[in-house]
Amino acid sequence: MPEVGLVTALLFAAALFSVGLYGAISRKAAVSILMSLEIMLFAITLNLVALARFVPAAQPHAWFFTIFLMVLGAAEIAIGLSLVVALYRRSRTSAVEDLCELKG
Amino acid sequence: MLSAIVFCLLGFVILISAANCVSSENVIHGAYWLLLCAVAVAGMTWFMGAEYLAVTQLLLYAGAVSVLTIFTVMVTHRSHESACTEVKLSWSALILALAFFALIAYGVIATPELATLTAAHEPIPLAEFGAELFAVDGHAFAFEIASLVLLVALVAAVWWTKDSDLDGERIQKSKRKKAAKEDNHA
Repeated sequence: MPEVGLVTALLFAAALFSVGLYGAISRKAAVSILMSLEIMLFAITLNLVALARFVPAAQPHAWFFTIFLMVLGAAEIAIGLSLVVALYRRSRTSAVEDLCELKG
Repeated sequence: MLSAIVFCLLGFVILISAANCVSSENVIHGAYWLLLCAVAVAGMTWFMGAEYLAVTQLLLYAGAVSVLTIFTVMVTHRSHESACTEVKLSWSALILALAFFALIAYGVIATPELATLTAAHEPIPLAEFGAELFAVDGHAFAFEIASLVLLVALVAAVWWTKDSDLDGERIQKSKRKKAAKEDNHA
């Protein structure tokens, strides 16, 4: 069985990141944007894990980075979703293009 | 060991579910596609030799974050109409994403050293990983800081979303105003 190399894994992670990037730019609902950001975080996780597997010098450190990435990703998503709820309470919408008023 | 078949299978599931998550009209469908994507990413992490990270990914993203996302959708988009948004192909976003992919792909392919790293080595055992993560001269301090950040973020999230009494007061105030207006008209 042929094994997958590092180049394939990195290209795959880049493709996944691009999908997330497209979603983060093109979607209008705030929850969808946050979900796209999560897809981008998945791509970074896969990147780090692949590097840990193929580069001997990166072995434990890439895993540490992945752990911290997951923790900060969870914090980011919790803050983001609570902001969406707070904004919805205030303005009854979660479409980001309607939220164009400062100090409203 | 990450064989080509497993990689292709999981990669196909990840990309399809991510594309569906990004392009689904209904937000709640997007949340379910994201759940599938998280499970598949955990599977790929497992087959890349990082079993502990795979389980963490499953617990954190497929478990906690998905539930949080679905709850937020339930709180904010209560009707079917508000959950569904029209999805149009955004050419500018597509061009930007493709340009980003091309840039990264060029960088990866133009580095010949990466292609020589085809033979995967054995991952370090979990006990060694944990010992280094919690060693005082290792990453223990960074770990504590990260957990503190997570705690503060969660407290902030609760604090931001909790002012339901204020909300009720505001609605009652507007009702009272309306009633006073109607009285004046009468």
